[in-house]
Amino acid sequence: MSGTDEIRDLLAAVALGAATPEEVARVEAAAAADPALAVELAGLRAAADGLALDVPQGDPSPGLKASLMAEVRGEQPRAVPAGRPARRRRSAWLRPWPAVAVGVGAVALALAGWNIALQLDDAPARRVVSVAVQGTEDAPAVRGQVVLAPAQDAAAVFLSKLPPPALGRAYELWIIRDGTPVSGGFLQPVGAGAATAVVTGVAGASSLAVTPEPPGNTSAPTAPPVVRVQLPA
Amino acid sequence: MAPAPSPDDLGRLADEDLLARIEGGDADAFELLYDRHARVVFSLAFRLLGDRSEAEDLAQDAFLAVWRRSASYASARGSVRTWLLGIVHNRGVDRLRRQAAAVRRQEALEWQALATAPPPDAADAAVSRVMAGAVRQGLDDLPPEQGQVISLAYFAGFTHHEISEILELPLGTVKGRMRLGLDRLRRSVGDPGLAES
Repeated sequence: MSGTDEIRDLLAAVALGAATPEEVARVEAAAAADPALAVELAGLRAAADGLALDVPQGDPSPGLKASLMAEVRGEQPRAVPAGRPARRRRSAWLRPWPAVAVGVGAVALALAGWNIALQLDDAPARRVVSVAVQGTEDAPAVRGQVVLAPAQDAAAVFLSKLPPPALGRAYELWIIRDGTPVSGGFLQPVGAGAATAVVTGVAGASSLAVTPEPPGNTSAPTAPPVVRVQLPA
Repeated sequence: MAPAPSPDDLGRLADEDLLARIEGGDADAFELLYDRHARVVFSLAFRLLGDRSEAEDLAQDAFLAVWRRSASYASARGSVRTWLLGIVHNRGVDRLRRQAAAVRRQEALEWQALATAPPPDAADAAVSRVMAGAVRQGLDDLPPEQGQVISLAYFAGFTHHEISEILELPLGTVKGRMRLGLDRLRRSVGDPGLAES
């Protein structure tokens, strides 16, 4: 078995956290020198990360929060070290949706269609709905699905057939409420042209959008959306 | 740090913006982040450790790590939720590996037997399934021998060498099953057919 084959043989174990520290070090060193290997490892890690949500859900006791907050509030306030640049810009909710996105026009940005495909729970407050989506005219091949779980104030987004973003950009999800986008974080690549994200805080949002953005941007979209999804009221 | 927003405004911030405030010592932002993710964090911790008290201890440990080291988050490597769950998983597996190997082996075998039992609450199972999305569907669809090694690795914290011993299989077979199963999960997340179903 060649060195490359041996490394590839270890990728899944590394992604699952089932490799030894020495094996992890070897794989990460190889991935650092081989972009194709790095992409493969990232895809397997994204799949492994999804397993964390594949568990029966339950709530911790109220005492956990009380204990945790008592410890947190009991610590001295911290100052951000001088000279370190601010990691974030001013709050996203203070900024308007940029003209570049609005200018493309509501018709062009709207989905060709969406439908509610699933209703897995009879209780309206907990009703889970799935919205099938397709790309805007900037990326008409994009297909995907947004699954809303109101009981958890969360949405899971799955997209495929995404065009490669411009160099130095990655796809970012935006939660749009009252016309103002708030970052929902960057989507995780899970293979060629495919990406996924799970976000919370979607209650009251009118739509979701995805735009190609430079890493670290959380203030406002800077490019037209490749997907914009109207959410059911 | 910017002036503190009202509770309503704070609630509209993305997780990444909350982390920026947490980095500056904003306990209200931390409390909101806890409220958003406590359920999934505790649920994963409980799934890993199987004991409510230990799971809450692990969840507290993970959230305190976020409070004290929020600056270590890198958005390019995934969402805040993924990062947080990664902390839970890594620390949970560390705890599992500190347990006696014999005890862990017995628990793993018992868990394998329980894994075929139906879920106790169909509604919760449905929501859990939706939240896990295509990954969950993919896990359900995996051949049992692939799902078995993935579960032993991810949820029981065994290395591929240990799984080889437990299942009395050649190491190459274990690694092959891991690779095939995880690759299948990866493809299922990006499967266009899912989006159009």
